[in-house]
Amino acid sequence: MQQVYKATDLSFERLVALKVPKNESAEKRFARSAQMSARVNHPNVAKTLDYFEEAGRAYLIEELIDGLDLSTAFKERFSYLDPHLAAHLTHYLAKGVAASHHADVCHRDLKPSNIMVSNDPNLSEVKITDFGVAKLAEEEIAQNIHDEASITASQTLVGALPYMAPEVIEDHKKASKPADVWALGAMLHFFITGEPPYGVGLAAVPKILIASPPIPPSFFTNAKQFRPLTEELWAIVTRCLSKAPNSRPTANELIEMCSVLCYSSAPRKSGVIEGFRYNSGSWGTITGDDGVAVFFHADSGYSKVRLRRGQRVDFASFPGMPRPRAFPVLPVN
Amino acid sequence: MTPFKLPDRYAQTEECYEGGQGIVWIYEDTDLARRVAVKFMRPTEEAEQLLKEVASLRAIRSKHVAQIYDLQFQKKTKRPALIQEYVPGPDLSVIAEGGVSTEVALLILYQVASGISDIHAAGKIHRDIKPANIKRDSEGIFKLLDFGLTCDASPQPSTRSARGTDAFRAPEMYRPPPVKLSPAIDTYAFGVTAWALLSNGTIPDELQKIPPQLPSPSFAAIAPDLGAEILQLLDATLSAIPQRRPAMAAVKRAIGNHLLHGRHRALVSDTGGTKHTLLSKPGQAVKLTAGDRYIQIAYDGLSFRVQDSSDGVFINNVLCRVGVTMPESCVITIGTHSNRVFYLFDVSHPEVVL
Repeated sequence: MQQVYKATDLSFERLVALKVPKNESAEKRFARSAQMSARVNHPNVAKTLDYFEEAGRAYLIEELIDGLDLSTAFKERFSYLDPHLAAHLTHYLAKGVAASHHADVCHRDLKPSNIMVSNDPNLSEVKITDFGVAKLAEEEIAQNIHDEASITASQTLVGALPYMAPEVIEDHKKASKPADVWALGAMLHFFITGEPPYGVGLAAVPKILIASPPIPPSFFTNAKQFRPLTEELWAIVTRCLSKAPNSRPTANELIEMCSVLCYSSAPRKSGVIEGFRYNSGSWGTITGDDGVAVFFHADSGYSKVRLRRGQRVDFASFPGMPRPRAFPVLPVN
Repeated sequence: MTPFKLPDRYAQTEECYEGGQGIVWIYEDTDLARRVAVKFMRPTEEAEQLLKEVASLRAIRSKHVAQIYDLQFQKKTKRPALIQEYVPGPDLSVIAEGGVSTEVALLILYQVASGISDIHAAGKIHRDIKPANIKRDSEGIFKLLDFGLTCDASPQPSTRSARGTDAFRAPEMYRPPPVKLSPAIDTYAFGVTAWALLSNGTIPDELQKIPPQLPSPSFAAIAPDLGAEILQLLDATLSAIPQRRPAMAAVKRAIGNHLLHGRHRALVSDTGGTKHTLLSKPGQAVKLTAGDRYIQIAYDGLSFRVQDSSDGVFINNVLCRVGVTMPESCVITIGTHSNRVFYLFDVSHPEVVL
């Protein structure tokens, strides 16, 4: 499809992403893709800086986000995100997708590896990349989707499949705005549970086609200190994963739903659970990487498994005596 | 005609803006099928000035500053042209004249304050903040333009010719030269811009005098519904004394809080997880009790405060005092020793996302 390089723009001495088409068939569509992505202008979308052809080869220059893509972030750091962080992320993503829909550009390949985030515990910067370029992915997907051997061989498809809407699996030409909204819902599911709604690999295909409403895992519903946010997030997941494309909210409606969500965006830091008091298992201390000890209660943790001594966590901290208090507490690798 | 020859991919349009320094022509980038703004200096002006502007733009990270795309140099003369994101507008002077509601004005001023705060955080002074230099993009994001006068804030710069635009020029700019420049001149210009936006583009006579006759009338005269905190801050932006003007980051924060007025939520739960109370309406209060001890917390639309309490009540283990603001997340302990009852108190709110 395309190759991406980190490059230095000598005019401005800045790092940029330099993209080149991988093969001839991609080459043909590259200019058009570049124009599509250049039409989208929003703080949550990576900006198209330049496009040029030299010696018969095409080059696209894009804003480079100092950070990492979400797929890598999940491999290296997170197993899942607490509802506050997930709400923040989804709010920004909805804004970026809506901006592209306003410009009549569909992404068609929204998935964690196409989302760039800053490398801080708050994921304070969020940008969607590969707008328009996704049209290229579509071709590769269309060629391979009905063949198990090529699905496993196609990296593009393996990553895209769990976030693909049922109508897109049936006919890739149907990829349009509602399919982007589906993908956002599937990603939100992935953020808060650590898994895409219908699993991964080829086994996901029949499940996506049936599209029965997903059931929240028990650790999610049991996280009482995170209600009512959890309930509201789940409602968004369910609506975005409506089988009928026209039953899904539009990107604008999604922004409306996100803009009334109440979540905490207090600055977070990292640390390690030092231990529990009186073997209570319910409250203890975290030692922050800055050396400051912080009190926490197990109910403030968003975790699939019991939080244990030695677990690395991200948390926000609030004034208290003799120690500040942590909330929320998110286990990380 | 422009005095500058660009590569063929750029097709000149009719749209052109004369700046205090330099000219901006709008071109069509035919490769990417989008418009771009191209800035170059007039033949009579220093070409170096544009490279200084580029250096400023590079240093500032803000979603309220137009993106820079490319720098082109004229083959023979080596004079530069800066290719930038095209912001279609309208500009804030047009929007102000059309009249906007207080709510819309605050959302715009929040963005302008964010942009100036980002510029100041990068150690720069813009020096020409005014409605005509602030434009709306196609997604409703406001961007600050024209960094032709922008300079470093430290070491404190001074100038012999106080540039900028008359009614937006701070009073200290009229002192005998050399005039010392500080970020507070942007804050003053922001204040005048805010006034124009809140009053259909008008500027009080006092501020139009050269130099301005301060004190300025209070913002309470044009926007009494803004609330005491914002009114006080906006009035302070027009203070005659630069040091009394607030930091732009503080202005941004205060406007942001105001935009979230009445939209916070506090969840109170007992540690058993059986009882939950949601505080979300301004004026709403909750009373938590254990025996004859109690605490009453009320929401005033901006924060949650302790309205009343008995002795023996602790917030995150700190003895509770009437009037304190509740932390965003805390444990309330009522009583001591074996009779203690715990409550969890967590505040959340929508994020101002543009």
